[in-house]
Amino acid sequence: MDFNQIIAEFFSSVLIVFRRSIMLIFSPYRAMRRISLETDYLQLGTIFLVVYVYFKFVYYLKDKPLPATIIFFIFLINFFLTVNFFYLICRIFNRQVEFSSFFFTFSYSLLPTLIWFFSVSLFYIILPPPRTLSLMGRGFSVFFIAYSLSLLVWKLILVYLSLRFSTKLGFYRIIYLIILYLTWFLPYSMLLYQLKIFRVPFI
Amino acid sequence: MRTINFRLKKKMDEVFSLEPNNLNWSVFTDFYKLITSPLKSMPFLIVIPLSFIAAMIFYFIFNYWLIKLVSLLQHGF
Repeated sequence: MDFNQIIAEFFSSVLIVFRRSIMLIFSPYRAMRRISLETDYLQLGTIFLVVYVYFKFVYYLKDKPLPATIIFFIFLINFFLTVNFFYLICRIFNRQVEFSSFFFTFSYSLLPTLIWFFSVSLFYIILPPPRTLSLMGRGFSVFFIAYSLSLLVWKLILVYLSLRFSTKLGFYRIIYLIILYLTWFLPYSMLLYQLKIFRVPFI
Repeated sequence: MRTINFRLKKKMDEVFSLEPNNLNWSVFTDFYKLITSPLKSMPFLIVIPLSFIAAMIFYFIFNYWLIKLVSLLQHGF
């Protein structure tokens, strides 16, 4: 494979990621069903590159930050722990599941997280905290909560669909899986908060 | 013709790759379908208005604490 072909494949993957991201906004069910069958790993490279760019960007906004590369590796550990947790639980219970399906669907479900973190860092520049009790402060607070809630609901939809298409389990079992996941992930997030690595878990 | 058949088969495999959800109780199953069907496509048409309503309710209930929470979340990136 020559250099030109690698570049062409990389840009085609970037375009596919962009198209899938738009589809996840308008038609998350259909998009996630397609993503769960995906095999092009360059798309994942594109998503992780955007995540890395984000960590590089916020490095310049924080006081006494850890290097972006270290934060990125901690994010990768979180991500692989999450994906492996769901995959291994399904394997233990003898489900015929594909690791790549978990990997792709969970990578694409990072989209709301990325949008929220990017936008919050931009708001930090445009309208730095703390918020006040003025009319503008109250108005922005309501807008910010509504905006965050919308993205949170979208994130929950995408995570649910990721699990639905990767595990092919029913509603109740997916809820059990999520509760099981939260039993270790919430204390783990608290630990990351105490260590001042992530104030809001980046997952 | 073969290409159309192949595409149709691929599409059918994709669509029927997943069993429909059954919540063991028809009332629950119907309710689940009622809730999830509008979320499968264009979820933001429902999610955005509901989020604004929820944010307003939170504001009227928690008032000052909500503004504190926003200040806290703005440091969350």
